Amino acid sequence: MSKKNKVEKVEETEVVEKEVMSPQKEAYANLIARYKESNPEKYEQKKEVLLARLASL
Amino acid sequence: MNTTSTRAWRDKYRMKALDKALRNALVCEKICKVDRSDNYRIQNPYLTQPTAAAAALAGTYSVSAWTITDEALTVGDQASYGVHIFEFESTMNNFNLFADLVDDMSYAVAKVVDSFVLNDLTESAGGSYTTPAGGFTTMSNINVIMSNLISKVEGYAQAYSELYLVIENTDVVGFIQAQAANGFSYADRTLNNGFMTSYMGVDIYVVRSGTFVDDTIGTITVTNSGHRVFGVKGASTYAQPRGIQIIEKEVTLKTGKELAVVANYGHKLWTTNANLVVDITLA
Repeated sequence: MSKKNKVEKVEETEVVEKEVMSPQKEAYANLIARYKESNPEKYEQKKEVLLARLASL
Repeated sequence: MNTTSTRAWRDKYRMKALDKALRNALVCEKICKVDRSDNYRIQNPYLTQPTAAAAALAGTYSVSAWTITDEALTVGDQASYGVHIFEFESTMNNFNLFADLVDDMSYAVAKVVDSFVLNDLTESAGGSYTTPAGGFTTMSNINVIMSNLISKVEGYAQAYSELYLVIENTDVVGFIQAQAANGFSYADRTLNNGFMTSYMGVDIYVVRSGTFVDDTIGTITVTNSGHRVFGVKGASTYAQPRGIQIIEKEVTLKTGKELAVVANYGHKLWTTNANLVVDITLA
């Protein structure tokens, strides 16, 4: 594989990863991150439900 | 056919004052202790529970250190809303704009405070309970849920204070069916009068759907969607120094006046009382 081909492949991968999260999902992921920081104990209790809700968005 | 100008018709507003849009019920003042003093911090007022020694008759005793819980309520949040009413608006309007707007803006501020307190209370609860599938919307669940919730706070002396349950309007479905079907005189009262706001000795407060949220409200982040709250009244304290304040001022280069409504507030469920409040998860 030539050097030029390798570079193009890396760029394609990056584009695909950025498209995964919708604005709504990103906002909810940020909310969960803030919640985890402010209330780590409760986060551990609610973790499964919150992540399931995030996955459903 | 006659041609009539639309400007010739006589019309009027239905009321002398501007009417209010639909408002939500506010409940936090009914279930919390309220402090309106001018303090920034309020310290935990509870002694740590001492445990007395039980032993054979000896005539001696040991001396223990007494402690209080080091914890404080901080007034760290603010709700506000402001408008400017120009002189010509005030002069030529059909309504008393200042009076009508202050009323509506005060409600908007109070609603933010209520949402903050209710969600913080739910988040801080020491007890937890998950309902059977269907939650409050299934009639057969109601007696099961209520008995389980009451058992969570019984045995404490404070449980003899009044109990409360805060639900959203969508949860009322199962309650009305249960009220109409359980007992005899109670069912009759429900059938004649509709929804009864107390059940098994618990005062039921209904807020609108969307009150328990996953959101950041001021300085707190809460994840209460699908949760409700139950507990003993007065277990937590919410502080709102001087209540809702109305500020009216003249502004340079503008006629009329600027009008602002502001409330500073904070809430704390004292660790000592945390077990008197139950975070309900709807299944």
